[in-house]
Amino acid sequence: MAKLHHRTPERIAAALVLAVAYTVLLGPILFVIVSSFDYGQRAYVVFPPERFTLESYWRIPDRYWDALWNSLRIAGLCTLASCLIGIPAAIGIVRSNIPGKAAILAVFRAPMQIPAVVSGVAFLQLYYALGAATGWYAVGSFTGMVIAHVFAATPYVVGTLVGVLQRFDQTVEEAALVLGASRLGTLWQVTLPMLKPGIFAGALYAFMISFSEVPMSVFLAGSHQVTFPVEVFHSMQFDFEPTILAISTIVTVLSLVVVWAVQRVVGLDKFVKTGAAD
Amino acid sequence: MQSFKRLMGGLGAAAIALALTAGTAAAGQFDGVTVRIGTFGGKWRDIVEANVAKAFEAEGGKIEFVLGQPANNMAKLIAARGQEPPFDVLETMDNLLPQLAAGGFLDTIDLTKIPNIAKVDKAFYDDKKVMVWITQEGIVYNKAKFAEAGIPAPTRYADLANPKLKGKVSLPDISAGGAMPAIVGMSHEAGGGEADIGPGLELVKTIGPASFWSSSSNLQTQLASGDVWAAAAQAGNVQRLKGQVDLAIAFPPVAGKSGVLKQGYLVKIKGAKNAAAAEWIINAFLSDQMQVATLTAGGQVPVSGPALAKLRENPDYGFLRLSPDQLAGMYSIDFGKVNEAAYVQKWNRSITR
Repeated sequence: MAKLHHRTPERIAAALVLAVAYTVLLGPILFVIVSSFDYGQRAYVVFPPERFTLESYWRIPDRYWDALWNSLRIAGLCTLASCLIGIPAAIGIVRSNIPGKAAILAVFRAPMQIPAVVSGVAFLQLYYALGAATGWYAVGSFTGMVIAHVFAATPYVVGTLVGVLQRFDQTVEEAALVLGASRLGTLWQVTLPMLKPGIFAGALYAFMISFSEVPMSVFLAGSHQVTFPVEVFHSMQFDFEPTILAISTIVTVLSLVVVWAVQRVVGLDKFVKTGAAD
Repeated sequence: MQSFKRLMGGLGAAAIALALTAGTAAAGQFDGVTVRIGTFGGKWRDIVEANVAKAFEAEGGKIEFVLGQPANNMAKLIAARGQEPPFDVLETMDNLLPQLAAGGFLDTIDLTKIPNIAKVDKAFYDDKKVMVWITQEGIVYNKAKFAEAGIPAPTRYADLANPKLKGKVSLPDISAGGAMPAIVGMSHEAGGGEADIGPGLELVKTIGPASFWSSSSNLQTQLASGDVWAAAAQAGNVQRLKGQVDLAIAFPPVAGKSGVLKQGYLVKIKGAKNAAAAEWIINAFLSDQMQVATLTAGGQVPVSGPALAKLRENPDYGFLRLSPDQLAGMYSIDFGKVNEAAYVQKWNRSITR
């Protein structure tokens, strides 16, 4: 009985901490979702709504859908490219004996340390210089946007996989080789499956970085390649529209679906175990 | 036979319709012409799309929007220096005009190709720039809250230092669009001016605002919730919150005038491919339809005489200054004396700290 009394305050404290944590994490999201059901052409957010309606959802302008489609295409391709660069780079950095590995890793991490606005201006200048030299102008193009996003996203793939690889039990690979598997077969059948959670984690990070990227995209977006967050940013700069809440809610729900899909395919427990937060 | 006649009749009608359509398309003076406009996003783009782009499409042309704040678009222009500019026409603010001119980015506008310019006050344009809208900056305040608290309507910026308003005033952050008019207005009131904003910054400290707003939506949320009773801001906020909060605007005296104008311009960028089309578009921005929509849908004040006259008839816009005399009585900032970088440094030293 005394033990129970001792535990009760601890439990209450733990529950309070948990409640605060959930409020901080989920509060803003719930705020947006609930407010999106308010009515009318208001200039500000009303919480809680005065009456619930789907009016804002019916009025979502096409430009948000176009921008969302653009963002999904750009983030998808960026994720693929970041993995194609990041996976071999991480394996090479961890496994090889090349000198200056620390420096190479630092180079891969550099984009995370440069303010994105600075990167945006730098890409803008670079693309115009490239255009002057080659006649191909990447500013405002789909390719130009993807390249810039790959620059921002690849460090996350590398960082995640380097963390996984450093804890990787290489004796499993040695066993496969001893049992007659080729190097390529070992890579394909042993190494990559074991790295799968790390690859998924890196890919998910790359997708999120690209999908939510604003500071670089503001400079690089042309008339056709406006990304979703940039479209929302421009709208908010001019005026608030309740449809922003509606489209944001849809994106939030889509994101939850993606998280659910990752849970089904890889398992979030494995995702956490990769040390993705390292 | 009857069917055959009907068939021939139908074919004949279709041929005539086709010929007429082809004739109309051929008559489009901008067939195949694409003009890129650097402009704001969101609802403003929709307004331009509905009132300018549609009309341009009817002439066979197409408008592409390069969205961004004027400063962002200017960064694109600077990066493209010596090459094809990223847009042909730029919608910009008065504060960036000196830099655009000094950078040699402005092309000469053939005003004879802009018949609607006749509807605009001569002070609002020249052959390098055409003003298309303005905002009227002053003190936006909540009439009901002021009455409840027994606070008289403000007439000067210094009135915001009233102790009864403690914790209820918001001023624009230095990064906000309304910062320049507020700082210059307060500086003049406190004995300074564009060349000396020190007194204005002292006044900001005296007022001790509860918050510094960074965007219109940010301010409107605070005004609507009643957290903020008064703010140095533009009159468009009164319109946007109509029916939600009973707001009014006061225009404090500034250097012998009252209130401050913030001005939006269209400029033609040097190197623009289709000069004639660019001028046609500038003209379309000054059409009655677009100028009226500038206020009714966009919340900015138009500059063309007929649009202003039409809007003056609407009592809903009674809080605005819409006659030529009233507009002439408002203060326009002398950006030749403004050093924005120095403003930011001074602000950071004395306010942010």
